[in-house]
Amino acid sequence: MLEKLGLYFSFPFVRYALIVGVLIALCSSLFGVTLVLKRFSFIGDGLSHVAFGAMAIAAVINLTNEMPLVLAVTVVCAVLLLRTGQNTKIKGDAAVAMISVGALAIGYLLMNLFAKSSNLSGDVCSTLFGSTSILTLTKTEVWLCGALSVVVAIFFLFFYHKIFSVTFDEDFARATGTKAQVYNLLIAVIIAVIIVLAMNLVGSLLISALVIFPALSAMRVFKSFRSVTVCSAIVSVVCALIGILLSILYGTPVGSTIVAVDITAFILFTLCGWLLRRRLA
Amino acid sequence: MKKLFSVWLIVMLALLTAACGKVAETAETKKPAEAGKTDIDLTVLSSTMVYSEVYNMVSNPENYLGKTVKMSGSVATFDGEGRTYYACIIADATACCSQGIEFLLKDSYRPEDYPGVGETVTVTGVFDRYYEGEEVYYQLIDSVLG
Amino acid sequence: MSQIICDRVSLGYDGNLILRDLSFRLEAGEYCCIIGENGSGKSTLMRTLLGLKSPSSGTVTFGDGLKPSQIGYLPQQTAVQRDFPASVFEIVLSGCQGRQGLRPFYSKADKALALENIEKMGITPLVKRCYRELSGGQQQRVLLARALCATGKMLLLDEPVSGLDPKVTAEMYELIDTIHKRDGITIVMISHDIEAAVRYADHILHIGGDLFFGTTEEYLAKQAAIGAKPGGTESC
Repeated sequence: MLEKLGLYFSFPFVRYALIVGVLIALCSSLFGVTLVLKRFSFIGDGLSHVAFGAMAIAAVINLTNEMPLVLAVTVVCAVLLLRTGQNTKIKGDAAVAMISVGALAIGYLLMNLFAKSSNLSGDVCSTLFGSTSILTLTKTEVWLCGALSVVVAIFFLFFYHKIFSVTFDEDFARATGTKAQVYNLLIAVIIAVIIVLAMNLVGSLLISALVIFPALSAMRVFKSFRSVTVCSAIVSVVCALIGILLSILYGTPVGSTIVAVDITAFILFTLCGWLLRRRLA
Repeated sequence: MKKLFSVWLIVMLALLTAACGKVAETAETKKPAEAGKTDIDLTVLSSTMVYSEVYNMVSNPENYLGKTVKMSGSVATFDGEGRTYYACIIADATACCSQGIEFLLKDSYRPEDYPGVGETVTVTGVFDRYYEGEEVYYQLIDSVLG
Repeated sequence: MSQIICDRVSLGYDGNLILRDLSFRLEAGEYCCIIGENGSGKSTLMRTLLGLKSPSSGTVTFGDGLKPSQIGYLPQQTAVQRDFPASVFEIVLSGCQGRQGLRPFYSKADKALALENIEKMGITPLVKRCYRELSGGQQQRVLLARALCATGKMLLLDEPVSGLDPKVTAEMYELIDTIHKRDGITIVMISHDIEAAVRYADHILHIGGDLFFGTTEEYLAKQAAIGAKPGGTESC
């Protein structure tokens, strides 16, 4: 098996996949806690479908580098969804459902009607489930993913305390002079960026799993925001690494393998949390 | 679903293998496959790796043209104008991420020299690009079986 | 100069006014209880004072050197907070956030202030504990300490004793009274508990039905005059 791994590591795309995969896993987990606790998970899910729709448009108009377009569309939708969440003409979650299912359907339709690709089902499957996308990134995409991940991580570090206040108690934060709306907007934009990044790693249908599972796992065992954040980052990175390695070793789809590893970690952490509580009780 | 996949598989095959009726007139590189020398051995890779590697071969062909490629998979055929095209397909479980490359046997255009559809074969040939109208196709030329 | 001046404020949602023409003034160091039936707009009024909502008409002005962002706030607990993984110290420290501006990290002074307020609330032993594992009374003390980190002048409390048992409720009232007397902080509290309101507060604001604003003595006199026991018409 080590021999085989050695052979695989001689392929540059495997090395890129591991580096980019780790970076993406890291920054998607950082915002997991906020997403779960702010009940934003459904926005994340909706946005991932929007990203798929944007990807389809990019494929139809034959863009060589689709990331910038997908990124722009997703960020705009994130901002719009956040707005509709506050103004209740159409209830927030209904709006999300509308946009997300709509984008999914139109995206697939467009791809079917107009895409020039010779392997459409492969493309769709890869975009939705991330079977191999992380292994087939172009050089530009590798750099873009790397740079964006670093930006997201730096943003998180810099605004860590503000994200905490806004997540824990938005009213209090606003009342005492924190510009909560600005941070909400920033968080929404960052979530959009993370989703576009994560789409490369696990595909658009599985993004929520990548974002939420590490945070939920960490919350089973750890008790402070800082320890939960650190732990979910570690869990996410380790799971992504194991997932990528397993999938190239055994020929399984990358996205679902990573999510399966995340689920395993979640079960382990739940058990740990239960045992810890029993020992304390 | 299955039907959908098979439809797309056929489309893919069609695009891969159609229009090569003029048998690679515009082939850019032609090196005979040297026995025992393989640059890219797809037979030792897992299916995820195969998919990714073939994807890379097709998207960055400059790094791969003229390299000797060894792959094993099942034979699929497509009937074009006046002749049959052969491809080696590596299927995965969900069939959506299958990868195939068309191959031409060394010094042979006779159908009876080619294996039957569905047979599992190992093909070793030189990775090559050719143009047909505006479309670009890739194939293994000077291939040997076994 | 009063700390808060409400001038003919009307409140409502989507054109439905729930509160009309409310005017009152609060001076520094006063202790005012807001009472009234459910749905009479107590929480909405508090959100307006905090600047979270703008009034349908009328104005809220701040004076006496008080800035809107210098008001400490003890909100009702939300569902999010009940399973939030955070330590007591992290939460209390977040009370200092409003003053941070764009500074990314807390200073030593902020941390010292947080510890001091934790000490004041008598929850020093809990400082490393997880918020969601605390009892209701302990959680309220944590949030109170956080509110004190945000202000040295005025505290707005939205039903600080709801869901607490009688013993803890009494302790909570004493604690708030101590903050009021010792630190001279203006207190504005929403309460259902009229008895406690007339015992601790020096001003009463009654909204819903007939508006009343005045000192506790005036309130009691008025209630006696209309022949009702204090709180007799109230429901919880």
